[in-house]
Amino acid sequence: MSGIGLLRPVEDVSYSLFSPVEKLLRSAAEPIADIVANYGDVHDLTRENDALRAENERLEAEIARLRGEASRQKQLERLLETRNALEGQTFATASVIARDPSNLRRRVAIDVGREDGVKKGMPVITQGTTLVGTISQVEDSHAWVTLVTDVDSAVSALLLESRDEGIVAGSYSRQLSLDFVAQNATVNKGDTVLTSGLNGTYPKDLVIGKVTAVSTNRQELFRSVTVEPLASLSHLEIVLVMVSFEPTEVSPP
Amino acid sequence: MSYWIGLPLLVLVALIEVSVLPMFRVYGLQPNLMLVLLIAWLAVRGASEAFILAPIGGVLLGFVDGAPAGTALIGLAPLAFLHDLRGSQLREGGLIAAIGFTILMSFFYNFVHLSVFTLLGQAGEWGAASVRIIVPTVFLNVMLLLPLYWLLTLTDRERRQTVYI
Repeated sequence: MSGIGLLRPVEDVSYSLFSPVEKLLRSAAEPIADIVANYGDVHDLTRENDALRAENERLEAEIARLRGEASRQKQLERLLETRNALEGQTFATASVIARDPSNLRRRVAIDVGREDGVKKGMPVITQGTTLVGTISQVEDSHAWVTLVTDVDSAVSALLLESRDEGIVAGSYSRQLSLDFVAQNATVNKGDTVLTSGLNGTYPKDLVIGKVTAVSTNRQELFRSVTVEPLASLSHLEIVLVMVSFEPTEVSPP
Repeated sequence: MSYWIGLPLLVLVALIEVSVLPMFRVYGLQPNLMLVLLIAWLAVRGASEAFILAPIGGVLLGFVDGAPAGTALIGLAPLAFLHDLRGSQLREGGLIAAIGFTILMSFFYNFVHLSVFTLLGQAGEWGAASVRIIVPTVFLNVMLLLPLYWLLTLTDRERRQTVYI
């Protein structure tokens, strides 16, 4: 009867009646069926997730190790560049071993001393020919470096851009100031301050820092210039002592 | 018995002051750990122990800091002399007296250093040094005294209980 189409109207009616119910039941049962069907998959996925997590941890540790190595290599490359830039000079590589606990001074102790050819007055630099300070006290196996930010520090300097000169001095405010800069000097924020080599206490063209502020008070005799040291003086680890540089005190005529 | 703890502790403190504390400077400043520890020791355990430990602390600090020999010793000297002066009152005064004494001693200790640096021609203006360095350092010293005083009080209480038992 079905074959000759006699039951088609009945089939149509039943289909139209049960179809929504069937759809409803199917949609309700589908999530449960999925859970049942995927029970095995969930177990596998958990295991895979654990494995991926462990792999991720291993890779992150590897990345951290490589980053550390890269940073170390970069540091050594910069030190090498410095050595090349100051060709002809001899350096003693030193590690910072202590810092002066007095807040009134800015000094660090390094692990080279008289036995390594270090003498009082020798300049101390770090990567990128950046000036750190001067040897102020020498013992047999260690020495104290007075940092450029120390209140007792004064360095003859000039501006890279305009070649105007001044004296970079430390202060209790932990900032450097470029003193004795003439009112007509061209000084801009961001200018680079270098050692001028005048006075014979430092070699020429060592980077000291960048200009961070310039006063515009025309009433004053000199311009007030604030300089930020380029070397990260609070996080010094390795420094170079220019053992071939003999400071010469130039006395007035 | 306390000297067996006190002496190695002072060596450790001297080393911490030049190696570890500089890594945790607040606005470029660090507290005077040795000074504060000795004041806390004096306030909690009495002047007789501080009489011995203060000069030793000064000598040890002199070995590792960059100041001229004897500067730290002179800076810490009043702690030892308190044995004959007001040591017992300080102990009875508790934390408030210890704070007051920390303020006084911090000023003294730092002004001794500033005087020595001035004599050597290595110091700047006293006004700037006082405002920018010494006063904030005194504040840091007082802040450091609080946990040290509390720790020493705890150990001292345990010691007394042990002696009593």
